[in-house]
Amino acid sequence: MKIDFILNDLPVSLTAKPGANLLELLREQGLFSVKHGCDHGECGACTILLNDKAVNACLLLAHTVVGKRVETAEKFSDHKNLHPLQEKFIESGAIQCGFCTPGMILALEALRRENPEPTEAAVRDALAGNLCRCTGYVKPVEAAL
Amino acid sequence: MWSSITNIQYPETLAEAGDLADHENAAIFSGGTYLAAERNSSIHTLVDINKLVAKNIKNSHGQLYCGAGVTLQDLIDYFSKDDKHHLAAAARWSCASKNIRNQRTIGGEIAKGRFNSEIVVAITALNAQLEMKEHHIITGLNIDLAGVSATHLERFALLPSAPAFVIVAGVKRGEEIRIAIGGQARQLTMQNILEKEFNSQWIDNLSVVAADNFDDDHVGTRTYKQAVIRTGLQRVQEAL
Repeated sequence: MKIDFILNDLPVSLTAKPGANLLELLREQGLFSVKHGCDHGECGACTILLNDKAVNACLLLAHTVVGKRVETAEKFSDHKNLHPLQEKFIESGAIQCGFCTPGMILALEALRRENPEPTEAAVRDALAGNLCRCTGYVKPVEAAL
Repeated sequence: MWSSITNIQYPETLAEAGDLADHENAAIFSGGTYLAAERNSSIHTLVDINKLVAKNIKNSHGQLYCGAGVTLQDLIDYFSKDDKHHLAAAARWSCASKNIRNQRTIGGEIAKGRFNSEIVVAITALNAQLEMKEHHIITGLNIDLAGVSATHLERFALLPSAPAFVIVAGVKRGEEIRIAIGGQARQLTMQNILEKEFNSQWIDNLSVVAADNFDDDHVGTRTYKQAVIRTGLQRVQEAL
């Protein structure tokens, strides 16, 4: 089936099988910031932005994004200029292995669009669906504040 | 990949959706967070009703209407500034992940019938009336908040972000109090009681009745859960 949507600001028309999820579809396009973690919505490593809201791509069947805007971490960096949140993650030492980092950045970017000056509670709530097994959560929370 | 899915249908009406979903190996699909995680291989056709169910919340003079397509995060955003009925808190507790709350609909949460969902227990205590159309498709819910003078919800979990194993909610309307008890239970327990009869003896009796719906498990014995339910009811009594 044809899936027409806006991917990182560009209109795309992709083909997917009926049961394909967005995680697979995006990784097939080379968007490897969308990590294949638990595949069941538990870890948040596949977080993307769907119409400005953070969602788990593994729980999103591809057909449901038709006509919508999808953003991945690839949009926010050209490998020269980083997104301010990415800069803050580096400054705060909030990255270790990096597997969860794109998901965290996008969850926090969604929060920033809702509320440019979030409280610590709001940051922790926004990150509650993103699991990290290296640095923990103190430094990512610090980076977001 | 949900490899058993071979077909996605987009019905024009709920009646058509109901007919399609009546076929063997078909399932109604809205938010899809439970379905996409479980990937039941016996399901071959998804009947997508996303364009057919309301996604709005209306509160007209205390008569709350919530479309089945409203997400748990929409509920939180709507009630977070004035959460006297604990609906925002209950929606947040029902699913710790904001990412998933952005996808999961209230209709799906009710249809899933998860008794350890705080929002399901909360709306049961609030005596929510489900709006159902053809073939029992949930299209929304109505709650009369106008007569509610107080609500309280207690949850007991191993961690704040972990699913609760006991949830006790109470809602006071005039002289009457409605209690709903859920958690890792086989079914919800619901009882109405006059405020003047809401005493320790009644709490003890209801704890015994409600505990019958629980089993021994890694969290504790049924006797332990009976004690937890009693504590929850006592806290609800104090709060109301």
